[in-house]
Amino acid sequence: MLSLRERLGLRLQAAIARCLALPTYYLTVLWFRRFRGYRVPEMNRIREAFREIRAQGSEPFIICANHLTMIDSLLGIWVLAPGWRYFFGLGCYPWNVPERRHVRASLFFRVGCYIGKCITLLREGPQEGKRKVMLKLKHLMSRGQSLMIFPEGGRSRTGRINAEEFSYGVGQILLDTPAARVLCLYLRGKGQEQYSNLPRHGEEFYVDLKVISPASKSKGLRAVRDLATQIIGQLKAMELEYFGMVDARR
Amino acid sequence: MTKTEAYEKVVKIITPFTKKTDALKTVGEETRILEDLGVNSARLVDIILAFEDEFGIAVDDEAADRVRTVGDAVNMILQKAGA
Repeated sequence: MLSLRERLGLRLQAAIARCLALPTYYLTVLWFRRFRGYRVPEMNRIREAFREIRAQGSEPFIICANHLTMIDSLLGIWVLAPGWRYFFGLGCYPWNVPERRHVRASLFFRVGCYIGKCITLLREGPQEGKRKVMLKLKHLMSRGQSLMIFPEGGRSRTGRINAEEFSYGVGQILLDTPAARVLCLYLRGKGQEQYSNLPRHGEEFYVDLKVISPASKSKGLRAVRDLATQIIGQLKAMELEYFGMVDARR
Repeated sequence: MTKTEAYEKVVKIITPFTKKTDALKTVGEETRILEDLGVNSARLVDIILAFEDEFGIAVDDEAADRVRTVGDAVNMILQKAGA
């Protein structure tokens, strides 16, 4: 169980994130649009779809996204809703769980991650640290907070989702918070062939959303693996659909 | 089931998940599964589930968390199997 200090720490972080949600969001969007030239042609359709999905219930989301660049969570937040919606409906402003080694690389990243609702995780670190992060996520989701996670456990090294070797963490989170809604988000720059730190300049993004209800008749670790496998399977299906459309256009 | 039999089966199960294959030449009870053999934590879940299938045991989360070395795995299996 989380200590009072840990729970208060999370509430403080959420409050600071809320206060800074609008400037951080719109400065990020300014950087995306003006300095990186990023475009999402179907932004309105995606935001409308997400708005309709949100209206279907009050349970928090586990937003499960594919992972190709270091800014995928920022891109995901951008495409799903305008900044003001995160300010007024903070439950849908998702927490993130980046790798601690990447975040520690600079003060800018550390501050950015704190105000961007991140809880860092040392993926190959001790089990105790992972358990603590899981407790924090469970606590946050019990309070209606959403989470964005990359079920692969890292960027797709081949540029495609690896449905053979992936992390099972998302399965444990879902097992701990069965009421959560699983929103699969497939987001990819149309010129993105491999993984990278940033999408290329002037990138145009393809986005697809799908809500799924993973379930398992098993218990414990077997259920964890089942749930994670179903989520990765859905993301893989969305990826195949994307490449099917790309091939059809050639 | 003897400890030697359990040990041999454990090493056989772990082998395909091992990234540091050179470490298999010197594998022993003290060998750490994650650090020394380069098994990642998701694959450790696969290994634990393979133990369940191979030895007909049920491993709860707490017991799985305590498995750090090959020896830990062997001892847990022997304990669960009631050998």
